[in-house]
Amino acid sequence: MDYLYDHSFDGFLTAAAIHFQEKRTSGIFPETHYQYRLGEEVRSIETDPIRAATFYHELEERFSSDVAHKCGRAFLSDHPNKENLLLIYLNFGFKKGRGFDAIFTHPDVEPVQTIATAVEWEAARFLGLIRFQEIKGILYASFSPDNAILGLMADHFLDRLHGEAWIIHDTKRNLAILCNGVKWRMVPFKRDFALTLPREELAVQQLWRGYFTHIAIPERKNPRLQAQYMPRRYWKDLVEVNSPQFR
Amino acid sequence: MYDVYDRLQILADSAKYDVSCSSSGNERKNNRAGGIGNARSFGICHAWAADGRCISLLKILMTNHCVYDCAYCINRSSNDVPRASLTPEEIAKTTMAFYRRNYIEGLFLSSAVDVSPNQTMEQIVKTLELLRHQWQFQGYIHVKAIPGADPRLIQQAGFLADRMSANIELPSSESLQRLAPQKQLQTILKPMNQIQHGIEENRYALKQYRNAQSFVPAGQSTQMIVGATPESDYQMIHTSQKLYDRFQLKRVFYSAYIPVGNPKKILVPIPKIAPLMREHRLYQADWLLRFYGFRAEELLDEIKPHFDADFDPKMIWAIRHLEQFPVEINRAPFETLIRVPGIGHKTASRIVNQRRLASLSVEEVKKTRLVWKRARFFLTVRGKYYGGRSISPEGIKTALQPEWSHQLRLFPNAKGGQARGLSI
Ligand code: SF4
Repeated sequence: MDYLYDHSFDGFLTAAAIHFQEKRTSGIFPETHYQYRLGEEVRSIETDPIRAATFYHELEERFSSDVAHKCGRAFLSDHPNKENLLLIYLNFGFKKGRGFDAIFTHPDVEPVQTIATAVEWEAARFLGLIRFQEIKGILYASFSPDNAILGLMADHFLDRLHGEAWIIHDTKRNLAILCNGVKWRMVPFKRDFALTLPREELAVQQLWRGYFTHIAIPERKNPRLQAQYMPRRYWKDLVEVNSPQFR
Repeated sequence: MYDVYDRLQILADSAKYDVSCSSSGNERKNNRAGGIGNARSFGICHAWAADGRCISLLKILMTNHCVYDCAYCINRSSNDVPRASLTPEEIAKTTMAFYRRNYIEGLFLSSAVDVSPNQTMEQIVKTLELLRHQWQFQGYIHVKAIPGADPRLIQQAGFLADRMSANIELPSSESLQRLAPQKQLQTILKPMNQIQHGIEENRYALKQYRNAQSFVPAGQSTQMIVGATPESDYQMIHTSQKLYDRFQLKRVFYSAYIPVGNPKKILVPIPKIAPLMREHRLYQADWLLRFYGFRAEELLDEIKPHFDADFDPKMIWAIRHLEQFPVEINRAPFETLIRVPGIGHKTASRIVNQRRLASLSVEEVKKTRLVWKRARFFLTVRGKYYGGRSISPEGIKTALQPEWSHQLRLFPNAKGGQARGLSI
């Protein structure tokens, strides 16, 4: 029987808890993208935050906080089958017990390692690549990451921009973090108008573009290396390279 | 007079050959009310310039007016370049504007010597004071100690900065004498010494008094220019090793010499490998000194004083020490594993962790993210050797040749001679 859940991590954890504690499932799938197959029974899982939290805690106790944490990171991946990679990973864990994660070359372990690492990597990269523009005293940044890493940006920028109001907007998922300088929250967010930037902001951007161009050593030009670190698909939100002169 | 935009570009041009620009080494949470910024110990890159180098800090000179005439330097007094200065206020304001927008992690402030070392250092200290006190900036600051400046000024800067550096520039006092006659090794080593003592004293003070200010918490670094003088790779890494041992430097940076203007005093022998490739090899060797327990004497010696364009220093070392190989991957201690070409720290610790559960088969070994095609010559797996019939330096080199063309792509000018900037 396939389990369908509501896209949330709590929903996934609830489904996994039911799988391990009550009745085995053949697979966990997000309900909106589910392809019904003839003869396959399905069960809609109702998200239970308390059960989810308890199960998460169980993972920490049974394996390690690292394993639980890794599940959370892997869940943010854009891998289309991440739920079942996680399910296979945990099945293996429940069979082998504590320490299973060290067998990182095992086919049940390796994929989760890989996607969790990719998520961490992208989040780390965006701590640097987020670009704010100041509009009426508010710092606004848009980005469109491959993975759902918006939530991983929040605490870092809350600390870094202490006391400032800011917005980080994931344009791919229509979500944003709003922060008033003290607290943040994640909300659905859409922007369908062009931004009009104040003169002061344009001047700072111009200064930065000039700096960015001049700091490169012309004798060492290496566009391939540059694109390797700063993939082109990110460029549209990067102030220093999104103006016509770089396209 | 230029406006800020033009002056910033001129001073970025003047600073860009200085490479010692990473923002790592100090973790600081923002805890002061009203302050802005934090510092992360892992270092954050914010952009990559057209040369593929990470931009982490706003790297500029206070001024490029210089009273000195160091032959290797773009800002030497005899060189015809546009000259400009920024005021402490302008630098502080620009740093804040860039920092708030997340363009940068902080400031890397250096300077040419305008009028006198003291006057220059005073301006630098003033900029730092503005940033830390008036703007309450808590981001990363790396600052140059200007050789010859009053120790009191260096002391002041040290309490405001995260990292300080004094550039040694050249690995021998003879070369320094020839190319930078107004500088002396002693004036460069003096601030280095002072900073190191400052850090040590401060470590004690921090333990004793809860409110003690920290002094250069991210440590000090230095930079050497590669390829402007005839020193061998052996001399370079030997100097680095001495600097690490004696001053406990966090980093030595290497900068391939790029001729600018018409530097008459520079005479370099046509090198076997191009400066960029050489720089790359020196970084690899430096890494081995710092994290892999190698000593300079193990990697090179007087008879073979240069690294190779074709193979990295660890591979060269391993090929020259075949008597120590092969080692059994299921038994060799960690320190031995990390000396195997194709095995890094992370892979070695994974291997050690995994083999505790069960010995590794060759299929499992290949999946550990080691570089099998390099490592296989130096390993046995469950007693079996996979490096071919007999292990010989020539055999290994031939088998590894294809790797070479890949590196050539990374370093378009890797082969000597035709490298740009060598035709002097
Ligand atoms: S003192 Fe510094 S800026 Fe001046 S010429 Fe020498 S290296 Fe260049």
